[in-house]
Amino acid sequence: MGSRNNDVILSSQFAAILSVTIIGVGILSLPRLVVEGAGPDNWILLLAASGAALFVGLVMAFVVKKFPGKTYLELTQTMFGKPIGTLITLGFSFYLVIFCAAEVRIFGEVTKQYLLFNTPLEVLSVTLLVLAVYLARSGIETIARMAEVIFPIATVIAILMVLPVLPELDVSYILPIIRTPFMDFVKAVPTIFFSYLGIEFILLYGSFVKDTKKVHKSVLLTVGLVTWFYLSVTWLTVSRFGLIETTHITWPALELFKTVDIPGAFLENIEAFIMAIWIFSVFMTLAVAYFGASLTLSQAIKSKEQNYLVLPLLPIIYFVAMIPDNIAQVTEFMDLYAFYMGTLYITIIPVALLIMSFFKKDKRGKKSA
Amino acid sequence: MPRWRKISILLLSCILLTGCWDKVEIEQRAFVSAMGIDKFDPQEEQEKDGAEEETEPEQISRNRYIVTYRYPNTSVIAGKGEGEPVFKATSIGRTITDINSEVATKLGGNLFFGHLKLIVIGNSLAEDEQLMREVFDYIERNAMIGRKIHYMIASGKAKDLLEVKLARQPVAGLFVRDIIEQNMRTSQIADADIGYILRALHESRAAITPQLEGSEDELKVAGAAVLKDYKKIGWLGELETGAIMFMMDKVKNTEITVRVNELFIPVMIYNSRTAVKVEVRDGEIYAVFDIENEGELSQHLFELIGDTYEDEYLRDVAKAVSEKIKNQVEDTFIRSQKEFNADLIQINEELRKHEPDLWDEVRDNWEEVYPKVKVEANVETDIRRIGTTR
Repeated sequence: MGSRNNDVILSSQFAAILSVTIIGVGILSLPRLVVEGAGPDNWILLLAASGAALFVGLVMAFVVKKFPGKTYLELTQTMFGKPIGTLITLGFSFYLVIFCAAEVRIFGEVTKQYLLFNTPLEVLSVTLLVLAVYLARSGIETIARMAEVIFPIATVIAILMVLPVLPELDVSYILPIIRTPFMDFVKAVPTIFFSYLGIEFILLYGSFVKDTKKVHKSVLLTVGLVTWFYLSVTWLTVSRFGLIETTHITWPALELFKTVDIPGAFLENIEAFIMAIWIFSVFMTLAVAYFGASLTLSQAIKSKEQNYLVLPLLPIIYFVAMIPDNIAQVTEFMDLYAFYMGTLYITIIPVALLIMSFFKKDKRGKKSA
Repeated sequence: MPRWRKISILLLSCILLTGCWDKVEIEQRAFVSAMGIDKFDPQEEQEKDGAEEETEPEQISRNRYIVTYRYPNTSVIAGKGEGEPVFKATSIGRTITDINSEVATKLGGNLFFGHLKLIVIGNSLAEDEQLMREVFDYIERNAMIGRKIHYMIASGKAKDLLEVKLARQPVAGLFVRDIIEQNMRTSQIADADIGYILRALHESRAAITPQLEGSEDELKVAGAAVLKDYKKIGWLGELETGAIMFMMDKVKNTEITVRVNELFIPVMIYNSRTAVKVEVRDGEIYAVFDIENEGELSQHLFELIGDTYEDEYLRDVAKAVSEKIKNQVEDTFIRSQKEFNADLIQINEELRKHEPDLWDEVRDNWEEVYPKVKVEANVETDIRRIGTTR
């Protein structure tokens, strides 16, 4: 592991990292997905998905607590044997590279659509990537501090921006309650569950946490905060656009702010400000995933340092991000990717780890520092 | 410092300091404040300039829209330049995007819609479903056009209205905004921005939009156009528009004049709340509007002391006000059923929310069910103040 004494974070920082990671590009299209999935029962759907996320989160927290300080590679190797463990870790690195690519691409698409019309997509993507390289090279402590700074700022600004919309909040849109056919509902849960993509970092970064005993609290806090955030965005969007129009708009959460006129009207087009906060949050998601990709890669190839691997990953992420032709293809690809790879790394592997951990005697692996 | 490092710094500054693709000089940007869209009528155009030049047959089928832009002369507003305070540009073309780029090329700058305040649709375009749907999609899809802008239907041609030289406010778009905000007081102007219109059209395929009229040097917002299946099918008068505003709970201030004991008494309503309910009684669907008003009696009769200081008398006046609003609301609702068959208040959404079982039965033939919906308005008015004489 890193030799710069740069590998200890507090459980509160852990929660901040997880929250900013989970809230990423998905937030913009979330209201549409939820309403498509369950119409007026969107809030129940969100709660169900958050329940599922909480469950896998707690499973991962349990594994982390049982084997404190063990890296992802050590965990998978002790549970499944050396070759399989290495393979899983390599695969995780690959998965995170694609995760980064998707994040970068959607960032580019949205920015081009709303802010910078003439700037080439390639330039937008590379700019963000280069910045993320800088943060990913600096290690987990720097990322944690960054998350701690950005999270409250983004939250406060987001709340301030939402205030003018509040008077028009129309809660009657949650009526009628529970009329969605059960099977439709069940089918919709996985889609929304993948809005919690990023929760798999519990296993990866759990080894950095100093006060491991509190990891489950971080998980609870994270899922709670994110769910509250998702719910409020969805409700605001639905009460502004109604159920039908919400499903028509590509990024309803962003479009919401086009309906806002701040009283006094000296500020117009405040969606630019929302974009600014959103870019913060995308940047954090990207940096955390990017760091994760280089970290798992360095573990899999038994390298001591992680930071020299960051830059070589940039062209790979960039080219993967540029593969899809248009936004429709990106979404299609994202869905498939989240469904197969996401399910594997968010649910199957943590649950398998949990089951295996019952068979293994708790041998207290030595802390790597 | 080694040489390669110096060179790389130089090279990097070439890349990093060359600026930004999206840089636009402010003089080059036309901040469109109002936009008028008309249907291109080949015959009419031919008559106008038929003698001068022959319109090619190809030309006729190509052009479908006439778009007029109004944008302020930014240097006059800044107090530095001279000339006309407002510029206008008009062009014809097949699609709006087409015309946008053509006009932008002509101006040598670019059109910026982030500060658009008003879109006026010409009457003949409003009656064409295909073109209306294209325009709605253009507005909804465009990332720069906000959802607080006003969308109005002109009584005649949109182009003529945007060419009106106003005596007071130089920028037409802003003027309309002012007029709308002030006239909220009378409630006879449809408080309907594009956000509402799009949403209403999605939900019940029916909506109202304010109507814009113009004369030599004046623009006036009066009454409303009824949209059904994305196109205009009729007009509502000022009183009916007011009634619709009551039903939609959008009344802020309004004035109602009633006749009590041979006296005309104006009552200022300064607070109004409406709750819409859908009820089922004996197999019939009822749309129930519970309206609560608070008002102030603003004029009575000179040297007639005492009446306005009696609670009972005030109750009579309030009752007359309530009665009047009730009649207006019920009549307008029935007109929306009988004449337009347009669900302007989105009763279908209320039904879906509160009577989901019934909604499942009627959703497929809502068109036939809606005209049979019964209406009931329960209006309560309280007169809180009577002014400074008794």
